[in-house]
Amino acid sequence: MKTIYSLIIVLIVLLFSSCTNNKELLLKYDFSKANSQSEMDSLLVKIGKENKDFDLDTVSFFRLNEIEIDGMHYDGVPVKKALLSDSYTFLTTDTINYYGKKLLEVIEAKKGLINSENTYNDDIQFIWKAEREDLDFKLNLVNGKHLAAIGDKDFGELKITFKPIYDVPLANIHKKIKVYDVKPTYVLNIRSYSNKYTVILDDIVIAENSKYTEHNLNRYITDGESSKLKIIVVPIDNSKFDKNGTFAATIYDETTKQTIADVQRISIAGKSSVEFTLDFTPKLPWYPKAWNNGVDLRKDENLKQKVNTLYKRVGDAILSKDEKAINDLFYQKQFEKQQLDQDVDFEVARTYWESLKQIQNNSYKYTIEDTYSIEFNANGRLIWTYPTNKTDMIIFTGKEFSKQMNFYLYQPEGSNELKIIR
Amino acid sequence: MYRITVLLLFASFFSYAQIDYKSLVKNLEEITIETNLNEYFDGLPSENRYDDLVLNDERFLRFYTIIIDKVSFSSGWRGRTMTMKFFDEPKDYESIKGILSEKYGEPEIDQRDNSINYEWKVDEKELSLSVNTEDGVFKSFDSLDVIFNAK
Repeated sequence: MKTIYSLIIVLIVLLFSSCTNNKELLLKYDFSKANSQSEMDSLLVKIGKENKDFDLDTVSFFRLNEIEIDGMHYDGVPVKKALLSDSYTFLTTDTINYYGKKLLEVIEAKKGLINSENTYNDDIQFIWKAEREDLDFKLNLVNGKHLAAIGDKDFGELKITFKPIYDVPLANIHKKIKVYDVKPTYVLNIRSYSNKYTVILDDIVIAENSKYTEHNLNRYITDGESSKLKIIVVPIDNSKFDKNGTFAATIYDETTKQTIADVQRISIAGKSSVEFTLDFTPKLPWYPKAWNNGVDLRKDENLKQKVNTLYKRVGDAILSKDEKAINDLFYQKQFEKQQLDQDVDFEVARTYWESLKQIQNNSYKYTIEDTYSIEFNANGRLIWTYPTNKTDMIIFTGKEFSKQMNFYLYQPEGSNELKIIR
Repeated sequence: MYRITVLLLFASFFSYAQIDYKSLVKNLEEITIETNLNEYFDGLPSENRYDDLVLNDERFLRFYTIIIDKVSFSSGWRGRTMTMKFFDEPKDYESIKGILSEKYGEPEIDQRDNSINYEWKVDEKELSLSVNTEDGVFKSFDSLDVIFNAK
């Protein structure tokens, strides 16, 4: 009996070995193994070397190779056609054997289940975004109906896009963000028709004569002490409130929808200005350094010069593409913003970083406003500047391009330079 | 033992890595007002639209074995509402009508020119099935709402 079993095993091993050889022949070029654009380029070179009939362009910057050869696959799922450019790879399966479904399933095994995208036709699309690569998969329905009834002829299309590697800390802030069990987000909501509002939190003017009725307060909270919020309301035309004029406001936690403090609806008819205060004690799991170690700038005789120097540093850093200088200028502001939001999305800091680089790509000069008034907040530790002639403190200009900036500034103890903090 | 080994060897050779989709299928008729929805749908893709929880992957959604296109949950003063969207299959229409009538008795029917609404009321919930019709014949589903009454 043992001999028969052994014989069967030998036969099976032989069969397996033959199948393995066939498999290697059938599944020769695996696009799922490429983890970067350079690895994808190497695969293209390999395909070119082993398939001399194809005249593949492996060197041009704007190359586009369309390949239809046996042996191409994505993690075991045969690929009928591949389109390889210098920046993306586009794979299409055959319209047989449920290859569309199989391709979706191997991607889901690797990347996890996600919600489908909203599309304008019957096709089904999923986009997996990750730090190193984006996978954009589309299932084209031929004889299938939907995801629970996929047909054998439905085919898949997969676009693989590799992303640049970001070394600069500012573009990698998400790696430093801590996520806590609770995530209170304090929001002021004002309900009053057609007025202007000045909002002051603990001596920080966070909005002045603004029409906005919702304000995120977290960015201006620096400790768990009792906070005082002041709201000054004036009519939009600076006359008197309408006879039906009313005012109500609530500070609520956006995460739990819980009301923290509120002003019940009250008539403000006939008045020309009203002021309300709300006391509350914020409880955040993390408090930023913010301007806590800032010095009182109210008596600083060189303050205007320091403001000018700061904005000149911003302009020079961006225009000269000085990555270290850009990082140093904006890192703390962006880090505190993302940490307060507990935002671990890798795209947020990258988008911010790219937006700063975009300014450099689109502009050839900057101008700094030299006449402005300074508003002192937080007992003189935090300043905001109001330009007299221009709309913002620094304006980058290019052909049909303009980008304006203005920041809250403070000066850390022991330093002689202003820093951007909000 | 040998045979099992060989079978496993072959199975691993001919299959590819994939998620156990069957184990993730949810039978929505199991849901009550007490069901913890986040735990119940754990592992499935979902999203919060305003205050509603929405799931729309038909591979995992069933109601008495019928494939559900999309399900959403909202909460109000009356309790929890589960709204299901079906694919417009006439056979599903006949099935769901039959299943709910068998389970909850004859419904109240509100028939209009281009729509029919069926309502079943029991102690703990109300079910409302709305379909669009053409010349009295099923054309498409609107939705099936299940309102779980607050206790």
